[in-house]
Amino acid sequence: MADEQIQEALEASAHQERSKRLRAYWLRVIGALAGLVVVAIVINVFAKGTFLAWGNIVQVLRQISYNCIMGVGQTFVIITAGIDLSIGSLVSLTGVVMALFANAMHFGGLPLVVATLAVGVAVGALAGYVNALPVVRLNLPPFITTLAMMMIAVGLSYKISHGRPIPLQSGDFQGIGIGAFLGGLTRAMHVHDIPNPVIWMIVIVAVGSILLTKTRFGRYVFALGGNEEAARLAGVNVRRIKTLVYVISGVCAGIVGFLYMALFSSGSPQTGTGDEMLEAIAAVVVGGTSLMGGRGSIVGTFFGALLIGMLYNVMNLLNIESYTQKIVLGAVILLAVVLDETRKRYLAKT
Amino acid sequence: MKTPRLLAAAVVLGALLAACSSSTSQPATKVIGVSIQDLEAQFYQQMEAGMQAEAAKYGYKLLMVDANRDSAKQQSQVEDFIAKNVDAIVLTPADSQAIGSAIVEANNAHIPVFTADIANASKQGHVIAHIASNNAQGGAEAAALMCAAVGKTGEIAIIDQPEVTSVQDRVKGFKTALARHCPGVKIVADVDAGGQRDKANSDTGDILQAHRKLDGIFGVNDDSALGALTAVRAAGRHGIAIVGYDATPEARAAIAKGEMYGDAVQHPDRIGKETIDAIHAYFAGKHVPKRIDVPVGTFTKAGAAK
Repeated sequence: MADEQIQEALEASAHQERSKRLRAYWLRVIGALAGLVVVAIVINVFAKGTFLAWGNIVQVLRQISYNCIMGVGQTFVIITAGIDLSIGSLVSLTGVVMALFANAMHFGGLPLVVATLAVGVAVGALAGYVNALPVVRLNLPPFITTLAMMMIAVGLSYKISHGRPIPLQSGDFQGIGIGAFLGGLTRAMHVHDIPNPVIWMIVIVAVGSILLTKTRFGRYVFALGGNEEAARLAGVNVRRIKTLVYVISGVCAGIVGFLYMALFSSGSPQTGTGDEMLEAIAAVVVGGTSLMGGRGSIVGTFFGALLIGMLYNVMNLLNIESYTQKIVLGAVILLAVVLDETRKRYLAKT
Repeated sequence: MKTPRLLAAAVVLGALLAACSSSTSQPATKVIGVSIQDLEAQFYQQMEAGMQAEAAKYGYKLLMVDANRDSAKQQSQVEDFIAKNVDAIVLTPADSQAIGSAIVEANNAHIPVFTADIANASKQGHVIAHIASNNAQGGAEAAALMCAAVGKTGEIAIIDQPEVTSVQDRVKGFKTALARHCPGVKIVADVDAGGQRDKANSDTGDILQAHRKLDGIFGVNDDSALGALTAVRAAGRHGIAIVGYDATPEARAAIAKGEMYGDAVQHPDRIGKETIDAIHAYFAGKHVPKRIDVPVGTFTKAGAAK
């Protein structure tokens, strides 16, 4: 009898715990969405109705797709309490390598596009593997190893391109970068075209999110970030999981390199070497992923990238000059993480 | 114990090196030390080629080094030049403010200093001559192209990079000439895309949303202009004239296809040539003007570079 009662009590408390967490989750989602809607309406008034126009919403999504895809890879790394500083320079390197590859091939059409993408993804994956090697073998801090990779990749990229953009000889790529392959469908439905990079982003966010939340690999990633020693003792192959997250990050960089190369019809060593890496990391952190590891989500990263993208967009719509833009962006990133932390503490108390 | 011995070894080594260098240097050949901001950039590679060709004509030897956009590195390169006792130094400062102290060191060693493309913006040091594109005039050329493309009235945007001094000159020249040639054309947006193609692409996308009737875009360099071009195409907009600056191969291709209207084009090889000519005149004891402007031309579909 006593056992049954204990069992029941345990189940009840587990149920309570679950519903409390669910409530907290919905509170968060509804709160964030409501805030977003109010802010958007206010901004729209200031921007004379240009902000909430369909064309502009699509434009913001197109803008954030590159940083968001980089952010997806970065989310995996950061949940393991790591960091990948090399992503921007890998965008540059993979773009240049792919452009050289595509120009050297003697075939065209879809096979060329697929082969080129495969080369970029392979280079990104290889760089990610090299990133992970000293981290898993020698336990070196990823901040340093990926910083080294950042320099190596940029140097390589400039060296093999001789510092110049490499224009693609084939015209088979431009459609992927600029077009909207669902154009027929969206036009039939009388809605705005969805640019291809946005579709790539949606697919990668979905795949990344499923990988992180619905698979054993994803659970291991969280376990490793929460407590590496415990994960190891529980039989998780820590080395393999850690290597994989850097490979995923490299692959995402390769895909972004491909999309930029397709967009510009050219692989440029300069692409990706500006603020992109920092903005991708900012998107991850603003999206609620903890730099300490163990906590985070891909969907959060998407919203983080969206918030940053919206800010840039709004400031451009309102004609705010660039120095002010940087100050505002920094302040908002700070505010976002402070608010997130405060909300978490509040929820922990109740 | 160890330090004095090391010191002694260093002194001996130094003396040997000094002896070597003085015995091999021939007084007849003038040696010019050149430290360039960034030899990876195509622009500076062309400038270097111009210098080499002209130096060969006069029989000067060039010591060409790359500062890699690092002002500390450039400082030590200048110190190396001084140690080698070169006859003249040419600098393209990695940092137009920080370069002052290196120039002062060269001044103290009585080595004449010339700057090419980027000027010494610090208050220190004496430079014999500065040789550079006339960027204000180049901006005016771009404005003339814009007026020709847009007509008497319209709205245009500038994809800017305001932290670079040569770009500031370009934009100033552009705005002045625009106001003179076609005052009905208004600048409705001026954004900083850092001279980067991906940022130019995303910023232009925003501008296109805010300004439905945009007629033209001036990119302060070709990466800015080409980034703007992809944004215009992605947005499916037509009739927007894009004017760039530098006429890189990609921009030339876009102009030939009619996707871009035209470019202002610098002549880095001529900057290199004029720099060596100025040094030659200085060696000959002739008067050298403090500022030597190399004219900027235009590149359009109709005609090749003028």
